Amino acid sequence: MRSLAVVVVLVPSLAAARPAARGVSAEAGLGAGGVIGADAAWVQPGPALTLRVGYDLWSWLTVGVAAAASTHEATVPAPPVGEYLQLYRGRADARLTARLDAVALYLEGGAGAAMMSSNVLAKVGVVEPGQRFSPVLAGGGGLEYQLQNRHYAVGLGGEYWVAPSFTGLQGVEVRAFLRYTYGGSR
Amino acid sequence: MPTYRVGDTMLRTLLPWTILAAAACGTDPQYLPGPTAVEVAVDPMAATTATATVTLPIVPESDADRTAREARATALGVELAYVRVGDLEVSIEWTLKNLTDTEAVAKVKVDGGNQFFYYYPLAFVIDPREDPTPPSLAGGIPIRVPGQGTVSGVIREDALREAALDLEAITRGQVNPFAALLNVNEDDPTIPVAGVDVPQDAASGLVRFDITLEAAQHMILEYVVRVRDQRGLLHDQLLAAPIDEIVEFAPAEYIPPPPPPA
Repeated sequence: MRSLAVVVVLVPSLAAARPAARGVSAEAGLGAGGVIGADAAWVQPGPALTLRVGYDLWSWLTVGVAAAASTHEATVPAPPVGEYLQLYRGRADARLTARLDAVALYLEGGAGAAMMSSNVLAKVGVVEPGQRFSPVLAGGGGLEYQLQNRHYAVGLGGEYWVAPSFTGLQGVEVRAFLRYTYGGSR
Repeated sequence: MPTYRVGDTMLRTLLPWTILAAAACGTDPQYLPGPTAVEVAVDPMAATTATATVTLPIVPESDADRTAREARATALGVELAYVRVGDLEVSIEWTLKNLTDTEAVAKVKVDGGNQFFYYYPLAFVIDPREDPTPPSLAGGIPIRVPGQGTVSGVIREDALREAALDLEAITRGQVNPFAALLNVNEDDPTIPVAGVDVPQDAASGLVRFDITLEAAQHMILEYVVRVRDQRGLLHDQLLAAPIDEIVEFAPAEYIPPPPPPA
């Protein structure tokens, strides 16, 4: 009976140890991204920056908009040599989160648009003359850790994306992120 | 109960997006692949010099641009070109392949034209026995290429900016080409154009590039013109642009004036 009382007391106190804020959140991530598949030879992996603003509809579902920018060396047949391109992606997405105390797993997916900074990949047929934009589909998941402060969480995430109009250019990205959530606890 | 100031909240939310937007709005380069490769000395009797020409696909001038240009031209007292120095930052990236088994020396030269004149160094040679050929506007450095080897290089933006200023000085400024090409205008606030000293950004910009390969052995030159468009002058379709949507520049070959009578 005494042990049951301890459990009854401990479980709520553990859950309360890491309250997470719920509401509007801003998330910034830093990592690396690269192209996979048939075009991987033309685009080298490079650093990536991601930003996301979300709104928690419930504690387990967030909708938001996200943007990502990455820079890559273009290794197309010379010339040119040593040129870089930037890939910008923006999307609306939804994120499902399963939380267990301070740790949470999430899955997310969304759709939007991608922009390529230059036409350097035209040489290998990835883009047409004058083409800079493509629809983009993206999905991924990750792990986050809620800090003692209910507003802050850190995490690791990964993502796969495909840009159909860039002749199916596709890539992956991994990142570490920090999120700040405004508002009260969940 | 935490309290938030609206300004702080907006700043925290908007700052990262502002940084991302600023990064995305820089002047990104566009690449115009050379329409044809330049090949020389295919056989012992073939030419050892060959030239390819690329003219930039420029959209027609808007009424607002024309009005502003004419107003500035009136103020300066000299006709101004539609495309001026600084409007397009151009560099030329090239790769040279020696198709023989022995090392050889090659030169990659760049000449060109603005909307008024193009520069042809041999036009300054009246008597080949006496007149030295002026150098090209850019490039011309001997390059050793190993047998079956490949060498890549670039004619940089600053070199082609200087070339545009030199061309303006040689043609409308009537400066001797040797003097114009030896003088580095980088720090000069003005250059002479038709008897008037005009700011560098009023000088005509290059819109045509003549890329020459000189080699005594069989070599092939591939190149790409890299353009950072500062004024939105390039057609979106680049070299695939419909002919009726771009300006057909027709610069005249610059013929130097005859020497004054003795």
